[in-house]
Amino acid sequence: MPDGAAALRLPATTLMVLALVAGACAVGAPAGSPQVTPSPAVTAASSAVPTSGSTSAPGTDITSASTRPTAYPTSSLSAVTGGPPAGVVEAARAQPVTGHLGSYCWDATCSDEFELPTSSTLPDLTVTSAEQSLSFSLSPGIGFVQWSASYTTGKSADLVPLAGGGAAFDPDSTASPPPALFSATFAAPPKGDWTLVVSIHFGPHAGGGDATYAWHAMVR
Amino acid sequence: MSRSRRYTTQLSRTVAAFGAAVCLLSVAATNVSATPPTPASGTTWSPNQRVEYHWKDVAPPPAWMKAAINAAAQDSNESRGARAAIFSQSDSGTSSIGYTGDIPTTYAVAYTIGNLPTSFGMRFRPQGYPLDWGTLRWCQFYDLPPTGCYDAEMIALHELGHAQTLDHADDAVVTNWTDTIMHWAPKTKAKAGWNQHAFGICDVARLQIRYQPLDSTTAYSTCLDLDTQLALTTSATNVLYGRNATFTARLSVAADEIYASLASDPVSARKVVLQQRPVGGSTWTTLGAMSFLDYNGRYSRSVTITNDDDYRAIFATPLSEGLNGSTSLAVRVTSYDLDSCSAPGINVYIYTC
Repeated sequence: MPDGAAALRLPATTLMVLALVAGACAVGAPAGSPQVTPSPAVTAASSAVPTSGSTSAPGTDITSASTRPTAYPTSSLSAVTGGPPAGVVEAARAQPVTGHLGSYCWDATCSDEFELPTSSTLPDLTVTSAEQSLSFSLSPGIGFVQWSASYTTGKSADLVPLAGGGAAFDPDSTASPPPALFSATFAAPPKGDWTLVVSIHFGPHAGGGDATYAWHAMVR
Repeated sequence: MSRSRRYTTQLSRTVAAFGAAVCLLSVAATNVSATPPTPASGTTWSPNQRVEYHWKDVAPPPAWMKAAINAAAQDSNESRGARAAIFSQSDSGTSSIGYTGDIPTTYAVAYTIGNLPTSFGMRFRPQGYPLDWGTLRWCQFYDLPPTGCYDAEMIALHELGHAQTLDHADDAVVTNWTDTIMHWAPKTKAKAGWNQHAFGICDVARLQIRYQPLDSTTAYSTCLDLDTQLALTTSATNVLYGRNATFTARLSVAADEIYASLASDPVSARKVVLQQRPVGGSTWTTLGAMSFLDYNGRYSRSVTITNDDDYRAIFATPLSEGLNGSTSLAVRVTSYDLDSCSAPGINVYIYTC
């Protein structure tokens, strides 16, 4: 076979590169609703139903896994008047810890903290291993539709993304609202002393809005 | 390495580089922001509602803070790109703005309560207030603002964004910081975006969704990605040779747009061109731009008819706003001359062609 003809047979690696480039073009070109993957691209679990066996903060009521909400809970907004619901993070074999409520928009009221409190004043969350997963939920069992977790040594400007999930609720769109989430599981920050931040957006059952919660996470 | 293998390797690299270049060009050619429209919730004001605020009697801001807040109101009015509320200060205003440490949440720097469509209440913590993370410093207090201060005008614009029903952006999906001013943790001096004095494009997008653009000539935010539809009609489909036919095009946002408030909205004062193609031909020729006709998204152009031709209107995707181009269906106009017409009746000068 002549040299030129042989040269036209592209190696498998080149074909793979082209396929990846084509795929990147298909994903990267903005069209319609943009899809942005939080970095790092850590796969995190967002459960649309409460995790079975999950404990709740004392005095709260979380729907068990045996009752599956079809879309959104029927719990009344009046159960959480006066501000957004409490945000709780739970590590394995540990008590759930209610986080500090930071900036939020809830029921036509927006409170802007703009900066994170110092970690020493935040609720302590002890994580016995950096390989552990953390689970976030709202009390008393209110759903949310979009979430992101991040951590920092102290300042909001230095937040490092951990994971995220869900989909935005757009009250002005004719598209169907995303399913309600009742918990979000993500990997713990690396070993160290951090401020852990979870930001969420509420769905139509809560009238929209958002909230940010923070903990002092000590990861061993 | 053999000559054949060296050539293959070189060709592979060339092909891969070409593919990457095509990909980058295709992405760069689009004008749509990847950041979605800023989240929002709650009842809105009426279109272009004039909302006046007074300084809270027991907690009026100092002069430098008043100036920053009033400047932010002007920023909101000028950058909203939509028929959102128009803010101004008036001692008889039903809304109020205070400068006080009396804020319901312990660490809040600012706080806004909406009572739309009647009023809003807003509070800012005073200069020098001790917060957990440090002392609050407003840049406008200083002759030489120190690093780490908050720009009061930018923060006030953020709060007015809340008053317009904007919620906090999800920073995980924001690709450019200045796409929105509604971050839950705005920047302090001198980080990029610390003194942004206009709504970001994705704030404007949400305001346009909730309140409609200012009018049909207003550019749609590049944070939107709206399809359009273009319809073309003609004054006559069979025209005497050498006479004119007037073509009218109507450009609008697509009727099936997911934002129902924008669906079918007229799009005026854009560039719409008229093209012509001989019947049975395959090549379109651009005759020129169609003129603005009215604010209902209509454009017109007269053409002297000398042949049987198809016509269509085209709106090309603009780079400067979040609209996608569209092409009308073709309209056919035929010409006739008097030789092809039957004679008129007695005393009636009407030809049948």
